[in-house]
Amino acid sequence: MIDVADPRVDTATPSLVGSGPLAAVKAGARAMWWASRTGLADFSIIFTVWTWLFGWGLRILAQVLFYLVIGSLLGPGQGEYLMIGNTVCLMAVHSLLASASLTWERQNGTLPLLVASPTPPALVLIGRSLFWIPDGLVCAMAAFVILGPVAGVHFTAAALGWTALLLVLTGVSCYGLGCFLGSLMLVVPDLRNVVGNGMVTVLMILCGVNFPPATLGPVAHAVSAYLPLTHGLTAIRMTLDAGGASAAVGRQALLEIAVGSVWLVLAVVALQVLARRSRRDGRALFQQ
Amino acid sequence: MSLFVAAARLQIGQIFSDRDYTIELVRAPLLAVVFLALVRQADRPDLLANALLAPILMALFGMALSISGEIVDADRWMGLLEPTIATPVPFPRLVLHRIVTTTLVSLIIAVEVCLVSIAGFGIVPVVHHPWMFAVVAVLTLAAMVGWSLLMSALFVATRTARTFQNTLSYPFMLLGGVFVPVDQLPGWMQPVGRLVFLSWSSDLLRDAMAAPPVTSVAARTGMVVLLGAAGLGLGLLLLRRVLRRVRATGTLGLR
Repeated sequence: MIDVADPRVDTATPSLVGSGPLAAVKAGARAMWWASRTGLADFSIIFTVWTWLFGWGLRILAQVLFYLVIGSLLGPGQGEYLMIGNTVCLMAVHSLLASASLTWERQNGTLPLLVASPTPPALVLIGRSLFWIPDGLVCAMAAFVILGPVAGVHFTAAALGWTALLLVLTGVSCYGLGCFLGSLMLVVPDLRNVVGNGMVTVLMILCGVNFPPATLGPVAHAVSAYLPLTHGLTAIRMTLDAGGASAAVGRQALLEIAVGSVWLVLAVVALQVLARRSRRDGRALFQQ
Repeated sequence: MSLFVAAARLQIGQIFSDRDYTIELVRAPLLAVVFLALVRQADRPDLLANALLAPILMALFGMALSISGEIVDADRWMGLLEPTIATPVPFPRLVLHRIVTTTLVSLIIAVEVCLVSIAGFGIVPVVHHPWMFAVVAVLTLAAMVGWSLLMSALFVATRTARTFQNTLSYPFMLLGGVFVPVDQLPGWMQPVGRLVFLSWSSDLLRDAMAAPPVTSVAARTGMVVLLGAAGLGLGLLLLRRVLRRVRATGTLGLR
């Protein structure tokens, strides 16, 4: 990422990677920073301010409103339950778009270069789609603020602040799953949208978005505990009920972090295995 | 007939060779689980028809957006557009045949949703007015063909297919009353929703599944036909205009 012709770079200084754990962390952070900026550049090509506001933004509001009115038709209190569930689910919708955007590197033809570089490709690939998390946060907060009063949800400032924090946490956790799926999609990129969309719908079924996780029986309930979104959504429902955070909210938040971390570790392992295999057999395109 | 067979073979080949196009076939049964579980959990068996029809109509529209809508645009990407237009067959007719094929393929979704209902929830869908249901279903598919042609022409005219595909889905599902009837939406949405043919179709299909007699059949089916024909007419007009423009400017194969 550093231009060797750049006069600002002092070629006499030691290697950027250096040695020791601190230098490695710094180099990794630098790689991820540049990767996230690359992703942001992609995002600015996909959307202009106008297409985001009057295209994507309106669609997101329509999506939450769609479930809100279903809840209102189902019975008292259901509109609020579905509105909160589907608004928080927007974090999963956005974070799981990473399963598709991870494959862009392959479509752009830059994957072989990444595999050949000394930087772990996992760092770049994971950093590249981070932009979905702030995008999801803006959408979810907008849905809360605009549609919350329609559903009869009234927030205190403290509850809204905690909710924003928990949304970020939920988004990061779901991002782990999105990256894991994306790592698998590098091998079968034509399934990227099918798998991403399918998994979002599975999360809608299992994680308490539209009905409590226990609704579909004990097995489904047990599975939901190991999926991102479940604990984050529970924490947000608790926060909005109580008007602020509590020890129980903190416990759910920690569980959400734990689940998301496991999925992120799985993503890193999968990406490293694929990269190593590609280097070993010379097929630096992650093809089967 | 041979034209339809050729167009159908091409379209079916494209749909099943690009696994990205199977997205609605995967999502619809999962959405059926969401809606059926919602209705069961809320103890509202009277909304069973809504829960069964919503995933089918959503997927039907989804396939119209993602597959039919992309026909002209995808042909241009693959370099198929120039030789196709050069043939003596009128291009809009060929596109229409391919859209009809896609719409017929999307009927698989109805089978999937019925299987989820029976195998997953032990609910056998009952249609109290089967003839009425069949007629409205055919008219709905025909109207979907008309609107698919409009989307296909619109996407190629504006060259922003993905933006439209990502944007139109839920607004249309909401205004089309696929789960919640349009007359139960907020007041300001109702007049807009009545301009979407799906709002008339979904009301009629739900009524055909219920026991009470269906009322105002002629007027309501007339609206499905009218709005479907409007989509078809606008689509043909726009597609011809696009073809005329790219021929005149020599930009047929250029993006």
